[in-house]
Amino acid sequence: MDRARHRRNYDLHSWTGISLGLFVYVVSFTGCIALFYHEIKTWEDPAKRLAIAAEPVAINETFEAWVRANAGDKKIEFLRIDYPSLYEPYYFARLQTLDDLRERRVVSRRWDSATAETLPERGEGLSTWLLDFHRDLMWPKSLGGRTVGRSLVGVAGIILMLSILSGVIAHTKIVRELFSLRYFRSVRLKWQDTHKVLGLWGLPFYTMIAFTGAFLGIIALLAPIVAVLAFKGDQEALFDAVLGKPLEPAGVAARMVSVDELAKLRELGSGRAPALVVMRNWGDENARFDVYFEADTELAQVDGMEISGVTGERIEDSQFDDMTPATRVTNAISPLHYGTYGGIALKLLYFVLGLSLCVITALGSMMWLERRLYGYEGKRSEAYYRRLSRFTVGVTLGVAVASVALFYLDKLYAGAEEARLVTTGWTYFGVWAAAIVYALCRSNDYRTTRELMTLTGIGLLGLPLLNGLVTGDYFFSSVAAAEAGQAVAAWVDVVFLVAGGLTCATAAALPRNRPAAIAAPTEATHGHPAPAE
Amino acid sequence: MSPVVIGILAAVVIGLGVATWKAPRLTSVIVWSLVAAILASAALLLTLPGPFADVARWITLAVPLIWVGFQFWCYWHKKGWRVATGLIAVSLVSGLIIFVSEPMV
Repeated sequence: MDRARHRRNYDLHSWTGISLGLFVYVVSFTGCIALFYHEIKTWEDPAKRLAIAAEPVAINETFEAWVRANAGDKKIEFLRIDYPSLYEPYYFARLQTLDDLRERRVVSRRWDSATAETLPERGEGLSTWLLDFHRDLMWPKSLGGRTVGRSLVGVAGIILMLSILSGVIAHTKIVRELFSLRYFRSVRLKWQDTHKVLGLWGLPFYTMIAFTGAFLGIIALLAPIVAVLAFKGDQEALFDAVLGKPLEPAGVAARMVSVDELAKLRELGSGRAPALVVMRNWGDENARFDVYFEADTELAQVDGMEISGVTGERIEDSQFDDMTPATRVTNAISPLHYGTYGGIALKLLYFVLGLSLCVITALGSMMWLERRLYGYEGKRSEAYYRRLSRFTVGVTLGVAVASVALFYLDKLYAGAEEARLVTTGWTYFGVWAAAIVYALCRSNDYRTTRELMTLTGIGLLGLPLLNGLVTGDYFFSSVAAAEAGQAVAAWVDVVFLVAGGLTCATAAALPRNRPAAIAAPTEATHGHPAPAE
Repeated sequence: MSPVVIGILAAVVIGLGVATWKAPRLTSVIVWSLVAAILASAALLLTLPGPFADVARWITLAVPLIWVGFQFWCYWHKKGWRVATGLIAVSLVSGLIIFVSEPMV
């Protein structure tokens, strides 16, 4: 590769990292937490720590009465029931209706699996925020809604793909750099080698996570545009063309097959029980039910079958029977991205690799600033780069402090359940902004880093105690509990302790000031083109 | 079309023209690569043979790769202007294919 092309490629790698590196960092960090959505939800909600009844009680009568009471004369747009499972040990139903004024209403209900009694509703908060902030930044309706947020997260995936491609091309001695970690030379060499070694060893994972993330985000952006271009703006026609046109209701009332009977269905191959049923045209002669079976150890989102809602007979040649390679690949994207196909061990591996991606992006920004503060690059004043450096510390570590703060809020919240999610959002941004302001006010980035990391670590260490005080479930007594939910919550506490300890230890090992030994500029820019100035 | 919409469209076109004139490579990586990727994907969707649902799924999978490919090409190629004109040409040809193709509905 000629020098000019190498220079251009390096510029591309630099500006993608600097302009949007922090955004990619935030998406990656929140993604690491979002991996454990189900586990965090169990920790969050005491109702999820209940035991699943050995013989779950019949629910059909209660379920149908609830649907009738809430639907009335309105059109049922969406209806589903979830059977008790490890992470949700109760019956759960969700109903979406559309009235004559075209207003939509969503209601949900959960019933104890042993008694069919209604369980108390708990407003969405901690886990919803942590997952949805990663998926769509909780983008407000006034600015275009979640679709805009989701597309922006997709753009983060695109930027990451571009950074990976330009980064790999920039490194012409990949094999040597795989094993080159000069840890005791200078700050810049240490950061540079760590950036390269982590980046190269984790390359397959980062490429996969960037591609799947871009795909999941870009669907939201692409579908309306393609609809405009190929379907004259009719997005519904596009979905019908891709997913098949749904059967219209006949307008003749009919008695539905019992959801208790459906629970006895078994998947043809594996013999697994149903996880949930999605109902279309409920109460109508043309009712169709999609029965989904969990496929948590396979790279497939779900396995399922379509049945008649009236007779319970299986419908042949449904969408589940017509699984083309394209369908299988697109269905595998989400499990591949969220690591839901290989159990908790795989999620932990994803977590470690995801955190290493955060380290890589943060190190990239730090190296860029280091070269401008102590090297020959950059055209702006030292004060500008110092402010930028403090801001970077505030953003990268502030998001961790803010995330931990949400766990405290969840257990200490005393307001109305409807306002829980809004309060969660304000707390998240409030703590994050406070961390950024704190970092901007401090003169020594090294100390700020240590302080914010220590705060995060101490925060994590305190969570098991808080959980025990509020719920009465102390991890040391619940970790071997018969109720699976209690054991999951206890293991989350154990992870908090380990993560808190490691964070505090890492903070203690970090230097208080910038190390005095500085490499010569030629050595520091090793592997990259010489500065233009 | 209302004068306001015409005004906004004119401002966007002039703004893009000036930006492309001043910084063809940067404008291409930010704007033209995205425009070309979307239009090329839609054109491929309308022209590729096979069941529509399958083609749509494969195209959706390919869009991130096409977009990143165009972006990378912006900095790989020596001449910034050639990149910009190339991407605009891809957009125009794709737009033409979309225009002359039979609508899906």
